[in-house]
Amino acid sequence: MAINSGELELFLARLYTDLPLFEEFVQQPEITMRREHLSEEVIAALQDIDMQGLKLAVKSYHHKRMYTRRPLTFWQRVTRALRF
Amino acid sequence: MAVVAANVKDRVGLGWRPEISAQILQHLDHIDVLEVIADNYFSASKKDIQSLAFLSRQAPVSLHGVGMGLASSQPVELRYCERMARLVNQVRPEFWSEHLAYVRAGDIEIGHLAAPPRNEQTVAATVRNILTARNIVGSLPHLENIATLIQPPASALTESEWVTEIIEKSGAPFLVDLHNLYANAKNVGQDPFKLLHQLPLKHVKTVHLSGGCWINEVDGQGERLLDDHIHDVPEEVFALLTCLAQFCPQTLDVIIERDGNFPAFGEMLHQLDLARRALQKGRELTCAS
Repeated sequence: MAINSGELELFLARLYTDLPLFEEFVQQPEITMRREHLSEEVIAALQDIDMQGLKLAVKSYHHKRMYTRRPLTFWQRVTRALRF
Repeated sequence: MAVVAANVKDRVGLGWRPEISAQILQHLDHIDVLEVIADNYFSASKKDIQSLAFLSRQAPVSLHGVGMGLASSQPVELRYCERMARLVNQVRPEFWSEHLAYVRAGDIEIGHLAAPPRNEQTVAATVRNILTARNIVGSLPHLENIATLIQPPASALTESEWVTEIIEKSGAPFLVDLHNLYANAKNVGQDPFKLLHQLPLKHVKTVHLSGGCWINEVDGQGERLLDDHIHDVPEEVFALLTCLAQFCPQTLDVIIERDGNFPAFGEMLHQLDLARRALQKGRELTCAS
């Protein structure tokens, strides 16, 4: 049966952004996947996941989310201006 | 300063960054083309948009999106496409570009580019998203291959097969990021030149060059190359550019991307010259063969 890529993308996105879930997955991948009610096809696909790559990707995404500069909203600029 | 060889007028330029904007403006005669991160202007003031539109009348400008998430099973966000369409209309760039990546799933924002599984399902979904974006923005984006530290699971296609199918089925121009290609190849023990030849080279219109660094795997057993955009373009990537120029008869726009750790601007200009020399060498090899 063809894998549901959307389901896989969603679970990967959760691993990339939810550190506690990621850590549980690293420790007990199958238990975590079954608890999250993933389909058998997605569970099978993730059995041989590139775990080293996943760990580096999570670290990299976390760092980028922390340090990405976002443009200030109008109210943020107003608040900053009012401080002076 | 464009590279001219056998009727091919390649152009070499830089990613526009606020930290080096003043120096870029002072040295526009040495820079053929500029690439602006579109997302930084979606909520910009009218004055900032007008400045950008003015810049696009002084030099060839392209808009480079980073948050559209075209390579996803999920339909592309129409609101994002509309923002890009509005900015394209205001700035009138020569073209716009985006990545073959997904950036969100459900209501989760990853915050950066991620590689989806490379299979027929994501090929079909990506092509649909590209055509949706084209219908809203009014033109096809140049599509960029991304670097990925993780080999995407459930991938029945190789990276080259997946990229080629998407480019050919959508008809979109290909923006080949040579450092991304180089990093991906090195990280799986492949020859980057062999990988380059497996890509749809006849569709390449734009090229990205950047640098990176080797990082230790978390358990310390090995290393992977991280495309961090804060290091100089390595020699091997210039060699890939020469190879590309040798086998691509069409004009190429080459952009050097640098996001931080900026060297003295003279060094940035030197990197542009290295790119021009690499292109020239490739064109001469084509003429000689």
